[in-house]
Formats: sequence, C-alpha cells, structure tokens
Amino acid sequence: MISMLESVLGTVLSSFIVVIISSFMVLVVDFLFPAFKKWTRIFLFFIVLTVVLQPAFEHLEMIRSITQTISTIFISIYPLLTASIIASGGSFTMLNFQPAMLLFANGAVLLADKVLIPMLAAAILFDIISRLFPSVSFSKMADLLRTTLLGIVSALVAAYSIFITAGGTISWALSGVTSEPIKELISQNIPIIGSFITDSMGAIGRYSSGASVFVGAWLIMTIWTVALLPTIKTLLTGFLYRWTAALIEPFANEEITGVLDDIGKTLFVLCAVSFLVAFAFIYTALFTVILIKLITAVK
Amino acid sequence: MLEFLTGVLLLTVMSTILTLLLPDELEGEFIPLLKIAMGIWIIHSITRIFGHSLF
Repeated sequence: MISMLESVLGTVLSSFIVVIISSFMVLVVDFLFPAFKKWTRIFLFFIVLTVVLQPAFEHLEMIRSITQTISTIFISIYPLLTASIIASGGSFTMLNFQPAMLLFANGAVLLADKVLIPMLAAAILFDIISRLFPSVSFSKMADLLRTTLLGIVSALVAAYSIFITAGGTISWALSGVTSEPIKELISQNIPIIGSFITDSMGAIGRYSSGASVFVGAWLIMTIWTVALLPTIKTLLTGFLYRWTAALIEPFANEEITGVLDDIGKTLFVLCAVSFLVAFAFIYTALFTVILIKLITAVK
Repeated sequence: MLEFLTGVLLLTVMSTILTLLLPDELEGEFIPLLKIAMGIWIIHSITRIFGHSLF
C-alpha cells in the first residue's frame, strides 16, 4: 500500500511541481515584459499541457489495458465455466450465481473499453479546447459527456445489485448500523462520485459476503485488493490534480487552474469506470473459485 | 468521432497561433470567422453521421 502511494506521488508530484514553478515564473515574466502577455500565456498553457496530460493519459491507458486483460481472461475461461456448470448439475441451483450475470459483467468491460474510455478522452480534449480558446467553448459538451458516462456507469452498477439481490440468498455482512456513517462520510467528501462509490461498494460487498461462505474471507480480501488498486490509484491522482489547482489558484491564470480542475473531474469519472471493471473482475474471479471448490467438494 | 475531434483540435490550435500573430484590432474580426468555420465543421460532421455530405 505504502509503495503504491509512493509510486503515485513520485510520478505525479514532479509534474505538478513543474506546473507550480512555471506558473510562478510566468508571473515574473509578465511583470518584466508586459508587452508579451499573450505569448507567455500560450507558452504557459503548452508547458502545463505537456506536463500534466501525461499522467492523466497514463491512467486512461492503464484502465484500458486492464479492461482488455479482463475480457481476454473472460473469453478464455467462459467455455470452461459453462461446461462445468452443466457438468456439476444441480449443485448450482442452491447458489445465487447466474451465468447471464457473468456475460453481463463482461459486456460492461467491453463497453468500457470501446465507448466509455474514448468518451473520457474526448471530454479531456473538449475541456482543453474550451480553455485554450474561450470564445469557442465546448465546456457544456465536456460536462455532458462526463455526466452521461457517470449515468451509464451507475445504471450498470444498479443493474448488478439487482441481479445479485434478486435471488435473496445474499445479504450484506456489514449491517446498516455500522456502515451507514462511513458511507455518509465517503459520499459527502469525495466530489462527484462519492455516493456512487458507496453504492457500488455496497453492491460488491453484498456479493462477496454471500460468497465468503464458500471461498474464505482472506481470498476475498485478496481479490478485492487486486481489483481495487487501480481504482484507488486513479482516485488519488484525481485528488492531486484538484489539490494543485487549489494551491496555485491565488497566483496562476484562471485557465490553468480550470484545466487542472477539469482533468481532476475526468479522472474521478474514470475512477467510476474502473469500479465497473473491478466489479467484473471480482465477479469472474469469485465465480471461478467457487466453481472449482464445488467441483472438488463433489468429487 | 476521431476525425471530428481532430478537426476541432486543429481548428483551435491554428486559430490560437493566428491570434498570437495578428494585431489586436484584427482579432475582433477574426473570431467570427473562426466561429463560422467551427460551425461548418460541426454541421458537416453531424450530416455525415446521417450519411449526407455538406461538401
């Protein structure tokens, strides 16, 4: 965990320090050569873009490669899984696992790869364009893209939780009394996607607590950690963007802070998308493990 | 989609460079031109989605 934090800070913090220093230098240059104000503004903008876009697109790439890996895993094990379900016969009726759900989860992964992540990249591009040339603004379009994405993703997660609770065999282990304040805290303090995070955590939690009877808590914890690590990384980076924006707001251009803020927002939405992917991963992994357990128990 | 985005990006970057080079008094006349260009590009892209073409 600590090493992950260090790696996030190491890659992102250096570029943000460049942003802070260069926006301060621009202040000095503006004071010394007021006639070149327009030029310094554009130069600052390009410096900030070259420095700041790289970590954001690295995260987009990372989530994308993860989705591709997961869909490959799924395609390779799905025939095996269906065959084993047929072979194991009645033992599956007592569980709340629908093979259709597996297909659904991985359909969501494909959706994330082909639609959601390109849309996010487009949102970043629109933000940059509307800041670079404010008279031709695309800010409404970028906002709309983000909210649409968030809508799609939360609808999918809601569908997951309906699927999972439909059978009625599974209940969330953390009872409402203990978890409600924590959920409230998260949903109010993480901007934009806070309530979404608590909801999807609830959905995942409901699922895995039902599965823990068969699998064992430590394995579930491992799968959770592996699946949620990219999400946490993205969330941290998004927060760092907004922190930098807040830090340089008193002395930097409004455009620079705006761009940083917008990229931070986009990364939050990316974090929501990666939740979807993580959920698909958790479902597939647990499904496989439970199946193997059941088959070995029957034999 | 990619083509549309590339067009928008190119228009913006080129007009930014042009506004840097142009004197200040010409800028007011240049921005409406840019808006017309952007409008044509957007309408063209929309019509192409439906299988038609502006030009």
